[in-house]
Amino acid sequence: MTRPDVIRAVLARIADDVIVVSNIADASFELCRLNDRPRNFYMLGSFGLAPSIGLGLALSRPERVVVLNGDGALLYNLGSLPTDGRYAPSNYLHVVVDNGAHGATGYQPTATSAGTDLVAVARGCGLPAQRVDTPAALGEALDAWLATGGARVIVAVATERPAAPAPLPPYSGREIAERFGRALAAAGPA
Amino acid sequence: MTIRDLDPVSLPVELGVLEALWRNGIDLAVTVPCKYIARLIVETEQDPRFTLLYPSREEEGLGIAAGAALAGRGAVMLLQNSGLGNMVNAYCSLNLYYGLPLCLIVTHRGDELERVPAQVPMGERTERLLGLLGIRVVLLEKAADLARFEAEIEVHRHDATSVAFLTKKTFWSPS
Repeated sequence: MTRPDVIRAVLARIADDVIVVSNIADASFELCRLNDRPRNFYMLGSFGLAPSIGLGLALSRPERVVVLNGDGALLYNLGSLPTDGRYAPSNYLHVVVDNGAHGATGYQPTATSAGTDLVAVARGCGLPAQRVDTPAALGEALDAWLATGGARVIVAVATERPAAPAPLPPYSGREIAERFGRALAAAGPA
Repeated sequence: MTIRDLDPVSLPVELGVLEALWRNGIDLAVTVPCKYIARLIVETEQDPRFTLLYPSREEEGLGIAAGAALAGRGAVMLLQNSGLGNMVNAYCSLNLYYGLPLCLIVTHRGDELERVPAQVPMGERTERLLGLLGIRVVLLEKAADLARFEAEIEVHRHDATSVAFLTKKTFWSPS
């Protein structure tokens, strides 16, 4: 699997009202290229904070929230997992694309490439978590969450590198935030 | 009897702070604690109008508050000035870059009242750090400064600009 495969599988299943928060760099670039939805929040900085922004949204909105994170970014903000496990909003899904590397900066290996088990860490924080290695297994895991909800972590192993990098989203940060905020406000108060 | 019926002179400053936050649409508090605001944290936790969250560290709390802001919800962070240093990159690349205002209630450790020497270097640099980040600083030293808090929290919400209430130990109720 590649990261775009993972993002494609998520996009193929979620309803229009689902909020997606994507990690800095390639996850955001690829999400924008695959489906530039108003309810996508493209993180272009604040490395590591995707699950935290997602948690703030999930605790403040009724819609479901999917976080598209990476292994390097989660390791950077590993403290987000106990917080997620503690407050565990039922509308919250944390998808970690685990390629074992900091892909955006030249594929330097992360600790997951040396055996750190993010599923075990998430479970230790009280979060139901599973590892998926194939598109079929990922699809089943996503379908299960969509059917039942519940705060959950899916670690999608995607060590295959994407063919070509996606371009930056054609928006400034303010444009992203304003479009995203308008889409939520149009749906009514939190 | 409600809080408003109480004699304002005897009203703990913490309750005044919560009332002002609530009146201005802020109902989410995110804290990495400080002993100076232990009472504020307890009062927030016991007030059914508020949600109180404990992130593992300040940068994460900033992300949670930003998510709430994107959802149109008012949020405040309650923290020590020592934690400001942990938020600098995230404040620049998230709050500043995306135009998301942040509201901080900061205890000023490392000032002339400090008993822990390791707090002093950050204490001496706190106002300059906030200034460098372009966060408006409001100093609160004594309980009577609550009126200033009430006025400035309105400005923060109306203008959608970031603000840090830099509070001395003497602003809060004695522990």
